[in-house]
Amino acid sequence: MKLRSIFLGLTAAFLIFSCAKEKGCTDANALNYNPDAEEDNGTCTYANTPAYTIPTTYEFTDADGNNTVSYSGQTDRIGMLLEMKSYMATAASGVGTAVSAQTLLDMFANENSPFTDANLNASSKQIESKTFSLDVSAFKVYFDSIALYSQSQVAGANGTAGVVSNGTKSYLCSPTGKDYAQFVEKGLMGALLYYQIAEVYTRDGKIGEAVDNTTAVDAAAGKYYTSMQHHWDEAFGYFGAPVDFPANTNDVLFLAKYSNNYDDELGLNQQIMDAFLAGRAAINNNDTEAKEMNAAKVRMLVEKIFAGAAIHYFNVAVDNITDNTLRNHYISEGLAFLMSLKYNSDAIISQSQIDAIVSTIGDNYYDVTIANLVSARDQVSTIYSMDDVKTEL
Amino acid sequence: MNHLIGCQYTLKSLAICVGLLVFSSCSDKGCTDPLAQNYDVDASKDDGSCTYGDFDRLAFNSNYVDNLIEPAIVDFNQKVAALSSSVQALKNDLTPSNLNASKTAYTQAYLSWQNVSAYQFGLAESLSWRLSTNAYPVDTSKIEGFITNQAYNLAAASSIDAQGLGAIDYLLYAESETQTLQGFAQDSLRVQYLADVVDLIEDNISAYATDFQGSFKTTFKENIATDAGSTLGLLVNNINQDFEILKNAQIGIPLGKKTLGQVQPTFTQGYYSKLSYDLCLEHLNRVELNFTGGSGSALGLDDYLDFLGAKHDDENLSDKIKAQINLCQTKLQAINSPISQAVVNNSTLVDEFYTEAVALVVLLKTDMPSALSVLITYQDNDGD
Repeated sequence: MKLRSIFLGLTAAFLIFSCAKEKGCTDANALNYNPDAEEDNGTCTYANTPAYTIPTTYEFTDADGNNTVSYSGQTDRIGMLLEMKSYMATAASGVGTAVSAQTLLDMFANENSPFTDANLNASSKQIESKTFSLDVSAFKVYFDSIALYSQSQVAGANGTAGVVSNGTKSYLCSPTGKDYAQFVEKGLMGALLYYQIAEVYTRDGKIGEAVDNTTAVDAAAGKYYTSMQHHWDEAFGYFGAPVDFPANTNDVLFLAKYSNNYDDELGLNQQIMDAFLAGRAAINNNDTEAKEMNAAKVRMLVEKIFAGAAIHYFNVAVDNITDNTLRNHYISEGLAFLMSLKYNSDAIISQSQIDAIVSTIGDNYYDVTIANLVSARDQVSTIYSMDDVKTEL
Repeated sequence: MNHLIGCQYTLKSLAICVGLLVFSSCSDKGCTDPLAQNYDVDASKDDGSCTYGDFDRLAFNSNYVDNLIEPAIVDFNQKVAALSSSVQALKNDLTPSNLNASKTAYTQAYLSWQNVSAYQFGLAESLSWRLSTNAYPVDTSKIEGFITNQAYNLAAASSIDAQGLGAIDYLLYAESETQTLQGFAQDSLRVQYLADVVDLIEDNISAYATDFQGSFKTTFKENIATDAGSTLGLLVNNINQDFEILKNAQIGIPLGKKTLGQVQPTFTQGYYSKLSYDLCLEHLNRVELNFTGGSGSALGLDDYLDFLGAKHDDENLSDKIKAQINLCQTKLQAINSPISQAVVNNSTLVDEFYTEAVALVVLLKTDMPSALSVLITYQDNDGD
């Protein structure tokens, strides 16, 4: 038997080699592409062609047609962050317009009905408990700084805290030019939104083997999703995109908004949406490999938003180097994006690289040089292989 | 619900019987289902004679209640009472020997807690017993504030991180023996606060013990259903939740699993007393006991899984789980020093233990409930 099959094999090999045309897979996109093959024999195989359908919008139902997507908690927290942002902005509306640190603490923890939207006050959700725990106290220090500087009765200048204005734009800055509202807003885009996506909801603790993916959490209460499906949806909820993103870019918030800002240069919109859609479809179909691959993709792609934003704001700070108002604001924004890159344990950038870039800029934004800003930008673009778009961002 | 498992197995064996009927053609008739009581290895054709006993769930429940849960509750109650007397003696006479006696009684009570922490049934749930007894890390500035301002309400939810065994750990061990005694001598409110913390733990455990040993125990024992609120359902859920706390709070969080790899030595259980390793080992040994139900003929979850013929790959699921628990024990014993120090000096060993603990969670939380047809109903308490 064995000898016979070897003999047959040898004969076949002989026949193939003696034939005029070599057969094989001729599609360069296939996994088993054979560059020597001249005639396609239908053997091409392709990576990750799932046997199930991946929808084009973030809408998923169970076998009975019930909606299984829910992320109202994330929508609430994004709404809370929006209100914090608006409240902090009031401090910049004019010299001496004081804001209260207690109000910011209340908004952070959703205590004492601090929001104008009554639904947010009634929500059981809050930002503080979901913020990267070791940095909660740093945000509270920012609140104190904003409240303190907002009491300044004089305009801000180098060495003096207060509102800095160029006649068109106004921002509240520290004596060294730091716009702490940016450190709060972009910092929480990192410590809340990105951290929850990259370290919590796309990790084993929430979508790993030990997480249930067979039973509806509470069908009687309309929770038709499994725990694992729900966790993935919560990651998507923190992204801040409409279900038909990126065809629809109207109501984009925070992460999705900045992804969209740099879509021409980085092309992240569709890639991120595809990873969220493919990951959810993989969970629905118990495709562990595709689930893990798309979880890693989501983390890696969202990371690029922060890197791209940092490069962008260092660029516009250079463009406005003599404008105290804009330069201070843009450096604060860029650095806050840069520092947020740490909220992913798989980040391409290391903490020491982040620290090096921060010290390149220096502590006083009134004294920063173009050379230092360009150097900071180039360090980021090198680490993220964004050199080809670094001047366009 | 009781006969449901029997039904499933009858159906399953029916399917096997039909299958064999079609494919085999001859000879020895008998029971061909290996899961049946009268399984006949020589039989090649099933004759419908298979009989299936039911797993004795009453004996199973009784074993857990009489030999595991109740003794653990009684023991913790006694250890806390002993701690309370020691602390009263210390309060009345601030001597080194009274301080040491309090520390010894505290150590015994904390070890005893490891054995009872999985049993959050009945009144324990409404008391938030786990949190009020053992929330850690404690907020030491809150404790100091309470003592200085002489104003505190330990029953308030906001006081949860200023009380319990973790607060005693801080008050008895944070300073040297001399300094601790001086602190108590200089401020009588400090030792009073210690006594108040112990009192609350004592009130809670004695209330729970009374409740459990009343009618609750009998009802609990006699509930032989398998749905979510049944004794089996509660046991499986509580054992899982308790082990996840061991994995996350005692190991993962100090190891930096929630803080991007930055270790958090002060977040360990028993940080000031440096008891974290002993506590963890005691706890892990209890996890084993909770699974096996004890040695010999005592009916445990392992026996139930064997009765159901639960497999993991080709191995008995019960053997697989026991082997994984033993592997966890070996990995933990390799650490053999306070977890707070090990995460700094020897994090590789702690990480190896953590990895095996994660693998055990999969077996306990996915494979076991699925084999037992029990739903995991507790949610991660971090909401959404």
